[in-house]
Amino acid sequence: MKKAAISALLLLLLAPTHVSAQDGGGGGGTPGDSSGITGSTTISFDANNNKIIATCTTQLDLDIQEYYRPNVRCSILDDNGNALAGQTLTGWGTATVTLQIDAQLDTNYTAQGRHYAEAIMSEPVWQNGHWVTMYNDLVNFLYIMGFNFTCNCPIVRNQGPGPAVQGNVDNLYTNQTRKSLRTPPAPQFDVEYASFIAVDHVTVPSYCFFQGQLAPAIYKGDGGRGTVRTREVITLAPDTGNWSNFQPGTGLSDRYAWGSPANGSTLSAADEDHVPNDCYFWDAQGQAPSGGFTADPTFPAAHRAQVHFVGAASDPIQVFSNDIDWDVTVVINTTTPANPTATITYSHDCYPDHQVKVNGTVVYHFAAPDHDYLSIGRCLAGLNSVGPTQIGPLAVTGR
Amino acid sequence: MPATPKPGRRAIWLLLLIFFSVQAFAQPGEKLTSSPRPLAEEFQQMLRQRSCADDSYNDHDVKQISDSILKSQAAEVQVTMPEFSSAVKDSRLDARICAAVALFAVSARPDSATLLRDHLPDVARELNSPDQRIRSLALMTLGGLQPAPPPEVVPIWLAYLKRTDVDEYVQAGAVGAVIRVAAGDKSVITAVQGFWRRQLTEQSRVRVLNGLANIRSREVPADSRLVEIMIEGLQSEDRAVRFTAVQGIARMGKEPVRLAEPILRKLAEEAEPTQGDDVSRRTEAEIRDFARQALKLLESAPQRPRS
Repeated sequence: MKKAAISALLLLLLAPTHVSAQDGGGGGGTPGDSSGITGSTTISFDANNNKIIATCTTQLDLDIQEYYRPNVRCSILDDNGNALAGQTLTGWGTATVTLQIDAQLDTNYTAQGRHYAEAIMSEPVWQNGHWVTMYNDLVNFLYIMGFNFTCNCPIVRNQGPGPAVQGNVDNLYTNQTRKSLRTPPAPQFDVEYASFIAVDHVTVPSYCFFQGQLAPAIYKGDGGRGTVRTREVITLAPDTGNWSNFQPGTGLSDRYAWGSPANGSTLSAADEDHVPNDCYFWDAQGQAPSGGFTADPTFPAAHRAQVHFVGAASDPIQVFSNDIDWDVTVVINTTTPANPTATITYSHDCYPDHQVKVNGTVVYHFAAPDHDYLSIGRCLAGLNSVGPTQIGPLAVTGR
Repeated sequence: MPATPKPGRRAIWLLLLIFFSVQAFAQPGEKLTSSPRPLAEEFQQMLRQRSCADDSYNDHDVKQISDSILKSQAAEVQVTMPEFSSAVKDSRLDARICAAVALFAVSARPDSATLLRDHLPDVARELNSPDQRIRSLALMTLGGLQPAPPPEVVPIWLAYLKRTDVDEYVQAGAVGAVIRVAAGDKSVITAVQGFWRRQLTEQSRVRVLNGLANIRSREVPADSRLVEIMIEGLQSEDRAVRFTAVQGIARMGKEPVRLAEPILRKLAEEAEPTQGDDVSRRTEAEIRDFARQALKLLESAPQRPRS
C-alpha cells in the first residue's frame, strides 16, 4: 500500500531541469559552460595510422552526481549524416566514449555527442528474500511529501532536495555537441623516369667530310643543360586509386661536325650556325617519337600504386644507332600515410644515365661509367645491361 | 747448441732479398714483365675467361681489348684479324660476343675499311646471329667503317635487305647504312622500296625513315623515289611514323620539302586536335609544328655557299 502511494506520487512529479550543456566544440574539445552537465566532443585524424578518432564526454558537476549518472551517445557521421560508428555509455561522474574508424582521405567527418544525466531514482534492495526496486532517497521522499526534514547525516545523499520521480522523463538531456574535420587530400606522387647524357657532348669517330677532311660527329649531351634523352612522368594517388598527367617525351638530338666545339671544350652558341647538312658546326637536329613509351599504372592493393615504365628510343640523326632501352617499375606505398615509400625495380642499358625521381627527389640514379663511342655502342647493343634489380622501400614525400 | 743456417737456406734468403729489393725500386703498379701482351694473346685471354656473354662480365677486360685494338699498329690488328674471324664461328656464345666486340672496336679505327675488307663475310655472318647483341654490334661495325664503308658492303646489305627470315629491326637499320654508301644506286633504291612495302612494325618504319632522312643532301641529292617513301611516311596512319617523316623530309633538304609541299601544308593547317588522349593530341600538335617548320625552308633564301 505504501509502495502504491509512493508510485502514484512519483508519477505526478517531474524532474528538475537545472542542468545544461553547450557544444563542447571539437578538436581540442572546449568544455561547455554548465551548471550541472558538461558535454564535449573532439575529433582528430591520426595520419600515422590513418584513423579518425572521436571522443565524446559527459561530465556531471559534483553537486548532482548523487542523483544522476552521466550518459553519452557518441557517433561519427559522414557527409550525408550517416553514422559510421557509434556507442552509448553510462558512467559515474564522467562518461567518455572514444571511437576509432579507418579514415578516407579528402573526406569530411563529424563527431557528434549527445549528453544525458540519468536520474538515479531507485536501486535494488534485498527485502523479504527478494530483490526489490525501492526508492533510494528517503530524505528527498519525505521532502516531497511535505515533511521538511533535515538532518546532519554525513551521507550526502540524505541532504535533499533531489529528483523525486522515476521514469524516462526524469533524465536530463542537454544539447548535443558536434565537431567536424576534413581529412587531408590524398597525397600525390609525380613519378618520373628519365635517361640523359651526363656530359656536354659525345663524339663519334668519323661521320662526314669537310673540305676533304674526315670530321667527327659530335652529339650534344644533357650535362649542365637540364635536358633529357627520354622521359616518362605520371602522377599517382595511391589512396584514391587515381593517376593522371602521363607525359612521355624525348629531348632534341643535335649533331655538330667540323669546327665544333667552337670554344674548344663545350658546345655553345658559337656552334649554332643554323646551316644543316654541311658537316660544319651545327649540322642536324631531330627528335625521336615517344608515342610508344608506356606507363601502365595499376593499383595492386589499397594504398598502393604501381607504374611500369617501358620504352625504347634511338637517336634519329645517328644513322644506325641502337635504342636506349628501359623497363622500370615503381611502387608507391602509402599504407603508413606519414611515411610513404617507393620500391623500384629496374633494368636498362648501361648507357646513358638513367634516373627515377619521386616528387622531384632522385630515388635512383645509374651513372654511365663511360662516354666514349665504343662503350656507348656496346651498351646500346645490349651488352652489360643493368638489372633487373630491386631497391627499396625508400622514403618518399607526397605532395 | 745454437742452430746454424744451412747453406741451402742461405741461398733462398739471398734470392728473396734480391727479389724484394727489385720490387721496392720498381714504380708503383709497374709489372716487371711490362712488355705489352700481343693483341692476339690478349684476345685469347678474354676468350678463356668466357665472360663476354655474361651481363655481369668484367667490363674492364672488354674495354681493355677495345682500347688495345684502337691503339695497336695496323699491322698487329691485321695479323689478329683471323683470331677474331675464327671466334665469330665459335660454337660458344661468349666467344662470338667477344668477337663481335673486337670487330666493333676495329670498325672505330680510321683504317677500319681496309682492315675489315677481307673479313666482311664474318661481319655479315654476325648479322644473322640469333643473339640480338651480336646483330646490333654487327650493324654498327659494318655501317661504321672508316673512312667510308667500301663498295663491297653494298651486296651484303642488299642480300640482307631481301631476306624475310632475319631481324626486321636490324634490316631497317641497314637501310641507313646502305644509303650512306650508295644512295644513288638503283639496286639499293629498289631494295629499300621493296623493304618499305613489307608489313613492318612502327619501330622499323621509323628507323627506315631516319636512315633516309640522314642522306647528306649536299653530297648526294636525295633520289625522288626515296623522297616518295618519306612522303608515304607523312601520310601514315601511325603517329610515330608521321612524327618521324615530317622531321625527316626537312632534314633531306629543300627539294624534298618542295615535293612534299601539298601534304606538308595539309599537316600544317590541321586544326588543334580535340580527340584522343593527351599524349596523342600533343603528338599531333608537334607534327603540325614540324610541318610548319619544314615549309619555312621553302621561304628561306638560298644558302650562301661557304667560302
